[in-house]
Amino acid sequence: MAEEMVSGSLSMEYAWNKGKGGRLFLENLAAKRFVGSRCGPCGVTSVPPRLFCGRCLSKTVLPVALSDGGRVESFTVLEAMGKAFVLVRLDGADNLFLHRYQGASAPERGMRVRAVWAESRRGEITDLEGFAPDGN
Amino acid sequence: MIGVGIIGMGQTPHVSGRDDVDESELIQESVALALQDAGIEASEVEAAIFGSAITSIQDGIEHVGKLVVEACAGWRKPSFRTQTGGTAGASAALAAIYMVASGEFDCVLAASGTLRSGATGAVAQKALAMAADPVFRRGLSGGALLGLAQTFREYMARTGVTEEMAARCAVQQRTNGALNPNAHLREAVTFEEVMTSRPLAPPIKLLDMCPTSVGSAAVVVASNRWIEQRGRTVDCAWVRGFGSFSEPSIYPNRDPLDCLCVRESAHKAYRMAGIADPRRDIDVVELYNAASFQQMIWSEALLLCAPGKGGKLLMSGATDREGEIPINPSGGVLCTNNGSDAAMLRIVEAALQVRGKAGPHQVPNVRTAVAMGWGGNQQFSSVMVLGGGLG
Repeated sequence: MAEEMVSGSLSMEYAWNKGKGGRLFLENLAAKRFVGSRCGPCGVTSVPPRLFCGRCLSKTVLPVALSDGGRVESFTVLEAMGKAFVLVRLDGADNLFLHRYQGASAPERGMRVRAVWAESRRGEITDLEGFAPDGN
Repeated sequence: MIGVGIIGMGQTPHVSGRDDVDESELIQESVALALQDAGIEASEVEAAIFGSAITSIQDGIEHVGKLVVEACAGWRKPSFRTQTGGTAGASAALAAIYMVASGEFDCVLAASGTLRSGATGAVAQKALAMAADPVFRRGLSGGALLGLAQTFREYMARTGVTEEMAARCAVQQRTNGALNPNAHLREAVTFEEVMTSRPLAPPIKLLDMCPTSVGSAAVVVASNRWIEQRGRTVDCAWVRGFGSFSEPSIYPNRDPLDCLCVRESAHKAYRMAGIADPRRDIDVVELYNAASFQQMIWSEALLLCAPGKGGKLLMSGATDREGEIPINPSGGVLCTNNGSDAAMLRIVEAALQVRGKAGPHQVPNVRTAVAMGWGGNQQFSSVMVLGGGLG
């Protein structure tokens, strides 16, 4: 360490609230189901679900069951991590959902994908391992 | 609205690291230059705003704004920090403009920058991971690269833009940066070097991305009354218009290619400034290109060309330094990215251009310049129109 500097480190523990929308989403994820929410006034369906509409702030937002399949809109591979990621439009959802890509072949735009579930699930985003080509 | 002008600008040369100054000393360097440029003493500044991006973890300092109050000339004055990710420096300048426009203040200083003390390798990655939503994105964070790469792929699919065009952007920006004495990366690169550089997140390669830079920037904003009293009406960058719109972070209703917040910011700023035909009425643009391809998307959002025609505009040469509407004669964010001051540097550079004081990278006869900021999770934007002359 150069004499121009002093060194130190930070190591801290946190606990983050899932929130009401998050709990609904993650409880269902643990049961291998996707839940989103639909805004009454706007009609926009978002996943994960929300207590209020992000666009009009209406609270008339109702949970809706969504499919665990969808279409790849975009993708990349983070070379430093060796991991592939896909942006998926789940059937019935208006927004895009980000997760890992778990297929053996390279992802493609427009590809149909389906959820790959973790064997042990505990109500966290990683209960979903990601998406793989549909039919595999 | 009360007329507002930028009468002082300062920026440090940007480099990969500094071990000779602390946060406050780094900020003071550009503040001193801005005060000198404005021709005023620190005591004449009535309020001080500090813009910084996500520095708590990157710098290992919580609430860094408290350390730089004096450096920003904020002693015994109203002072606060803006924190809108990459947009933070522009947000700080906008806050100063709002304050002067309110009539309550005649002279406000805005500064931005960071040392990025811990932001090398593992710490930078951890800091970016902490910026992701802790419940929905934990373990899925890929930092800025992830979103940029996916946006670029989608942009190519929708518009026919190619990786080769993005490489052309990088060559153009690095060529410009070589002329800017304050830029971090000052070596031009060739098309082949960009195309064969290491893949980071396909389709993005190493030379398609901005560097991690250390430096600071500052602006002094004043009312037309103040400016007229000091006879500075000519040597001033007048704020003709501004717009700043935000979008949600990850959900819902966001199309990463729609550039809604930038487009709406541009519409509002242009309307205020009386710009009817952006291509005709704007002489130079400084925009926020963390990745090479973005300048094509932003050309569309800033209404310099029709939707989907950003690639065509680039390839026409119109945005080159010698072209009809140069983009980032400074080299832009692709040559210099401190994170905290990058959006303010767009304003500083646009103001230098309308004042005719950009030096080696001055574009001839600039009357109107546009500065654009962008950041957060691709969600905060600002567009500012600056003009020279008599206000």
